[in-house]
Amino acid sequence: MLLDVQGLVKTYRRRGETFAAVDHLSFTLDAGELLVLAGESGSGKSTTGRLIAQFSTPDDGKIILDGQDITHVPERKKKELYRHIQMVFQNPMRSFHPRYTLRESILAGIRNYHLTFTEQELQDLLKEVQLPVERLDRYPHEVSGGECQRAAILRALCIKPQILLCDEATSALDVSTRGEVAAMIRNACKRHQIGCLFITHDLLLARRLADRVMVMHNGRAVETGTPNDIFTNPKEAYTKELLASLL
Amino acid sequence: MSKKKRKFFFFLGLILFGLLISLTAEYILPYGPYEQNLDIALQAPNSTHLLGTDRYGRDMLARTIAGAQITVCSAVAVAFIAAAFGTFVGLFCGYHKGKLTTVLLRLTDVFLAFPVMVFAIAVAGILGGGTINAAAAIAVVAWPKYTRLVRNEVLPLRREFFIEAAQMSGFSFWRILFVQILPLVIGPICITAALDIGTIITEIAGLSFLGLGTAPPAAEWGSMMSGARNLLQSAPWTVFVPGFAIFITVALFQLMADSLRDLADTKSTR
Repeated sequence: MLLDVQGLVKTYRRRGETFAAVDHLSFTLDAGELLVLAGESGSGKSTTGRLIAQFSTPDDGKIILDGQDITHVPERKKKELYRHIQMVFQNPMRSFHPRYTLRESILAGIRNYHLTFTEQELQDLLKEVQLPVERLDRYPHEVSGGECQRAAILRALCIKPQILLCDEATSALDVSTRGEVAAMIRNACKRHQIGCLFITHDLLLARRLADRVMVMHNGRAVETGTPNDIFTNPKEAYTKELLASLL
Repeated sequence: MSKKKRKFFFFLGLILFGLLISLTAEYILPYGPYEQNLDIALQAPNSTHLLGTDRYGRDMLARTIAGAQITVCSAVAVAFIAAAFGTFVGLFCGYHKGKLTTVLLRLTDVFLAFPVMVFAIAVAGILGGGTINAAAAIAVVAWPKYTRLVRNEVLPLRREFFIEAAQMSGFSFWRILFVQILPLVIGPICITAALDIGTIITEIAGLSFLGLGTAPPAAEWGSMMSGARNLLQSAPWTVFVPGFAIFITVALFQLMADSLRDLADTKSTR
C-alpha cells in the first residue's frame, strides 16, 4: 500500500457555522493504481487532494505515505515530500509561471531535486506525453491548453514521483483533448508505477479511466468500487441519483 | 518603436544626458564650482558667466551643474535603498504567514504614520547635518510604502497554481520570493521608485535649505538656495537658478515615471 488516508477531517467556518469539507474520509492507494475521486462540486474532492499535497492542514486523521506519517509535514521538509508527490492542476496556463518558458519551468524541478536526466529520457517522456519538443521553448500563453497540460504532466513525471495528484486536470480542456490527456495520464502512471489520485466530476471519464472509483458527497466517501461495480451495480442511493443525472 | 516607448526613452535620455553633463562638468566648463573670485561677486548673467555668479564670485552654472551630482545621485540612492528594503519586507509579509509578519506589518504602520519631513528633520537633527545623514533620514521613512505596495501585489499571487507548482518543483521559500514572485511585481516598484525620486529630490533640497542636509560650500541646490536667500531681491538669480534646476529635474523624473507607467499599462493598449 502506497498511500493510506485514515479518518481525514477538514472543517471550515463560514458565517459563524462550522462545516466539514472532508469528513472522516479513509481510503488507500496502491502503486500503479488509478483511483478516481468523483462527485459533485463541493463534495470535498479537491480539498482531499490539497490536504495530501500539504497545501492545507487537516483537523484530524492521518495521511501515511509508504509507511511514513506525512499528516503535518513542517515547511522545511516539504521539499523532500514533494519529491514523492506531484500534482497536475486544473488550469494548465496558470500552473506555469507566465515569465518563464515551459522548458525553464520543467528543468527547474529537475535541477532543484538534483536529478540526473539524460536527453534520451527527456525525449522518451516527451513522446509519452505527446508534446512536440519545440513547444518547450514557448511561454504558457503561446501554447494551447492541451499542450500546456501535457507540459504540466511532463513536469510532474520528470520528478519521478510515487504519487500523482490530478485535480480536475482535464476539466479546463476541450472535449476532444480531454480523453487523450486522461488516457495519457493513465498510461504514464501504469508504466512508471505511479499511484494516481484523479479528481474529477466527469463520471463518464471516471468510468473509462479508473481502476477504482470513490464517490464522494458532503466530504464523505459514499461508495467505493471498480468502475463496473459503481456504474452497473451501484449500492448507495446517492450514487444511483448521481448516475441517473447522467441520463 | 511605439509612441509610449519613444516618450519614455526621450525623458530617460534627457535625465541621463543631464547626469552625464554633471559628471563631466569639470572637463567641459571653464570654471570650477568651487573657484572663488571676489572681484566678480554677484554678477548678473552675462556672456562670460551665463547664469551669473554668487557672493563669492563662483560661477552659478558650474555650481548648479555640479549640484546635480549630489542631489540627484543621493535621491536615486535613497529611492533605491528604500525600494529594495521595502520590497524585501513586502515580499516576506505578502508570502509568509506568522508572528514575524504581523510584527513587521505593525512596524510598517508605525513608520507610515510619521510625516516624512518632520521625521527626517528629527533624525537629521539627532544624527547631525550632512548629505548622508539627510539621505538616511529620508530613506528611513520612505520604505514603508514599498512594503504596502509589494504586499498587496503578492497576496493574490500567493494562491496561484504556479506558486504551488514551484513549491512542488522544490523551490525554497526565498527562491519562490525572488525567482517566482519578484519578476511579477518589479514593474509597479520601478514606477513608484521613479515617481519617488522627484519627491526625494525636493526633500533632500528641503533639508539642506534648513541646514540639516549638505553643508556649504558643497554645491547642493537646497544649500545654494539657503545661502542666497538674503540676496533674493539684490541678486535673484542666485536663488532662482538652483530653484529652477530643482523644478526641471523633478518635472523630468515625474514625466519619465508617468511614461514608464503608460508603458507598463498594457490594458489601455488592448
